[in-house]
Amino acid sequence: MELEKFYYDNRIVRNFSIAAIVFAIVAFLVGLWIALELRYPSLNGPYSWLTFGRLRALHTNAAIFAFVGNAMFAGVYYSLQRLLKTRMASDLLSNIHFWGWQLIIVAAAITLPLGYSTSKEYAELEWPIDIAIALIWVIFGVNMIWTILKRRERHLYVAIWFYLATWITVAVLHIFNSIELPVTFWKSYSVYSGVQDALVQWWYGHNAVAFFLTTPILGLMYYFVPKAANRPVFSYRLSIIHFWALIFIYIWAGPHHLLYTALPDWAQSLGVVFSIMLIFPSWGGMINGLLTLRGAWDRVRDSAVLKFFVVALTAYGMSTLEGPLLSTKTLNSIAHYTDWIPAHVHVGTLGWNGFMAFAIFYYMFPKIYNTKLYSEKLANAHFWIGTLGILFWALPMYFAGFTQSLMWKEFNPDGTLVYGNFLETVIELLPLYLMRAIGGALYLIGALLFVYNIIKTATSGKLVAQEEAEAAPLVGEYKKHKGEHWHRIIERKPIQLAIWSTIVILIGGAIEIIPTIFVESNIPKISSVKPYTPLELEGRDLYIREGCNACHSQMIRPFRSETARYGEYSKAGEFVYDHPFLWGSKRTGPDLHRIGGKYPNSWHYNHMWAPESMSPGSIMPKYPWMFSLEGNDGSLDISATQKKLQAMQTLGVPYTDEEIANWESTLNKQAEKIAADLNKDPNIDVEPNEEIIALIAYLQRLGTDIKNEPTSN
Amino acid sequence: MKINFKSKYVVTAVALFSSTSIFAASGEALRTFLKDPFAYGFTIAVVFILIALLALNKALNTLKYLTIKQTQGEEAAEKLKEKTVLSSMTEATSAEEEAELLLDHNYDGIHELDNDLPPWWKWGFYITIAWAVVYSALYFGTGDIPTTEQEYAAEMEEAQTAVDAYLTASGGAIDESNVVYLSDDADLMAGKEIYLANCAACHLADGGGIVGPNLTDEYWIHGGGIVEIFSTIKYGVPAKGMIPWEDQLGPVAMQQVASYVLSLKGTTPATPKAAEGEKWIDADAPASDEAPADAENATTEEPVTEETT
Repeated sequence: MELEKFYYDNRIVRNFSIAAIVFAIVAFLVGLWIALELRYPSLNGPYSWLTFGRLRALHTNAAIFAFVGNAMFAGVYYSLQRLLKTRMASDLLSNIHFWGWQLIIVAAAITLPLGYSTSKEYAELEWPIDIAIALIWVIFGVNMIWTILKRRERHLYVAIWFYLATWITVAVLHIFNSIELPVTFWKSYSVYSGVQDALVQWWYGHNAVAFFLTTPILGLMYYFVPKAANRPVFSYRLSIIHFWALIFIYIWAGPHHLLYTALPDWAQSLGVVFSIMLIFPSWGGMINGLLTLRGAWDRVRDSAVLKFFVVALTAYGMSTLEGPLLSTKTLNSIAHYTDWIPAHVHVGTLGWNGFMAFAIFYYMFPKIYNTKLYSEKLANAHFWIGTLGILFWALPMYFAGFTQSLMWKEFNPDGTLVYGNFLETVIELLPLYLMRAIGGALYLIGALLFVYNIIKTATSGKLVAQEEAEAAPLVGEYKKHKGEHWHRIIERKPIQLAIWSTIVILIGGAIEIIPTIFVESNIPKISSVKPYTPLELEGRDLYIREGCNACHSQMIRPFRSETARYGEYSKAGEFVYDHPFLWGSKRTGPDLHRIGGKYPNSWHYNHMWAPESMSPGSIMPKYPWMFSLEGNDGSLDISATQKKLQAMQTLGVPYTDEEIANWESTLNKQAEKIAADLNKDPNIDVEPNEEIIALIAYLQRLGTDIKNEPTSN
Repeated sequence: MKINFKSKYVVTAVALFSSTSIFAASGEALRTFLKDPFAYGFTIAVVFILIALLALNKALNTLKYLTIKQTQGEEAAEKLKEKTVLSSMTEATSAEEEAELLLDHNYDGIHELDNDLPPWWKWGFYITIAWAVVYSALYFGTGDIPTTEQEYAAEMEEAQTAVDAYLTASGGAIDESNVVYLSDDADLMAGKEIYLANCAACHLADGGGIVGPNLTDEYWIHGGGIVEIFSTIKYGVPAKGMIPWEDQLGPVAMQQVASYVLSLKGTTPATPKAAEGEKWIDADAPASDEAPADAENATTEEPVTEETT
């Protein structure tokens, strides 16, 4: 048959690679910065946009979507063309995808530090950016599927199954989790509230890990590991089983992020059992990768690329075993809200995602620049420093998580908490926080060696922007040949493969989410729970702006150690007006769900101005920009208050039209009352229009409605 | 090392370990586990049994090897030894013989082998599925796995029993009905530490007062006896900015710090805040109203002492 000549587009691969590398350094730097802030809380100086609360989202978004995202696209564009023996279907779409994605990242890098945030983890970006993400994601999908349709290879290789499943699932997750009602151009409210919002968010959050950080990278693994090792893939059968099992089971496991919360028990239990069943499908990927290296182990010693792959796959195996174990109620009750969780996550991101990306770039750059890697030695040095960095990062955090959890739960025989002051358990961890920052710094140093090595490699060669290749076109009907595996049929039919994948990934989410939203008994009503006042609502938005939920939970779990410390455990019915929910996922500071009424207004006032004045040793930053003091203008922006109330009304929060019409007098009255109370203190001089007043109003309201229950009935 | 490592031992090990860790439903389970000698003993026993099984297996294999060597010759015996740990766990064809398993797939030079699923992987997957079925049956069906609410109720009840038993044994808890001034140096030092960590922010290290009132003078807003000071610390005066310390400090700690505060009476702070409240006259105190000269002497001269009991 006549061979056709065509050209692989290497320029788009190079572009995505450069973007990935640049944003990797940004993500690591921001990570290091916020790690240091936990040890030295006043690092942000007078700048609000440098605080942990705001930059934490920037760090996670940069690491996930900018670094791993661009690395994934680079790897997909490189491998997809070669696995299908064709050029990408449209250079225009490739370029729109590239530039669109980078613009989204830049928009994120500007808006997040400014405090424009939806508060939902890994989905903090506001609605205009959410729409842009959806559009660019669709463009990526169209380009990929179009390329698949004009392929010269009859069957789709396992890598491409993973790419397809990734594309479909991320689209579904992103769209459903980001349904929000815009209030202004940079402000929106999630259409879901409380428990439902939490479930949708963690269905998304968990599967962002599954389908953005795992499945596409497994796809890349299936291309780059056999290529780099020059070995056949260990088991085709294993690929089939672990692919389908993984995408089916993964989607169910989201509720394990919400064990012992106000989420209905049945949903929690589904999260537990599916997480346990996830262990072996996950490990299928690891062993298929590691066993592919059989017969190439002697080369692992010399080749940095293979070394990175081995550690990446091992880290993947470790964190996908640890994840399910953390999803058992036993371990979850210990680890949740502590530093154990970031440790677990970073073994995955630094070990699996980071090392996979490094290995792929070390492999790919010499290929597309038609040269050799500048220095294998430097790459080996990177490997060792990086590995050390991961260990230094994770081990202190495991220790911190365990230590703090035990301290939280320790009782005196007389029934009081041994560490009644939360701060004691924080101060205990400070040396460990410093060690973690050192681990991060090591990882960053390794990455800088990598950047240097890649630049030297690129400059020593020349980009082969158009790489020539030949292959025969697909002609005529394919004849099934004897004894072929039944799964081959679907590998010839990309549309069917896509449809089946879609069905498989929809089942788990649908079964968990739909009843939680529509069956009322899942969220028992509490009659005394009322909507926030206009001032409290504004205070709540300040809480979101400052990212308070990055360090404070609002979810008291039903444990003696929590109810003794914080008060009555949180009930599902208390969050019905919370658009979005603000349960948080980490307690760097104490839970705040029942902070209302616990301290006087002046305590909060002094504490927000200078946390250490009220809590010596506190690692919370100061928030002077919320005060009109010492040259700051802390006036509360009330230009959108009415719109906010109207939006909430649209979402089903029972504000009457009259309440909305009178919003300003209601707001002023409450603000004046709080200001008057504060001004009784001779050391305080506050105006009612300062942001701090709104924040105090919100904090003092938190968790108090339930206390009015007996009288209101 | 060539051991015929049978996958069933792996299965047994996984089952045993998961039964200890996963079926323990209480949040305190791991801590209990770490403290419980029985749990240690159990784990050690499991490990020993596994080692014993491995040794037994090894011995049987050696025996088998020797028997075959005697009856069928060395060649047949050597074949037995070929199964390595890796190959029996993965049941993979060795890399040298893989040609026969090579599928005709070729993607950009990538080939695929048709190795069977490793038995340990397959069995592991089955076990997790079985575990999920059992767990679901117990949770959704019979209700043998407690709900979070039931777990909480059980935990609270157990704790209450333990606390009650302790309080009965140790003569009751300290509260405002029975608190007394502690004149012991050790108690006052402990009180001072608590004071510096928690109170000094508002009352200054020397008790002179800044946000909160001066604690060294004779004037008290909420009463200056040990009972009154203890209550003020315990319940706070939220309206005036004094927070309740009940949750953060235990009863003994509150007693110690209340005693320390009382011991400050009559000391001279660097920047004393003007007096607030009423002059405190202790109803139960002896006629002599003389304040102690300084904190050190307070222990001996303190007028407000055990009379309150």
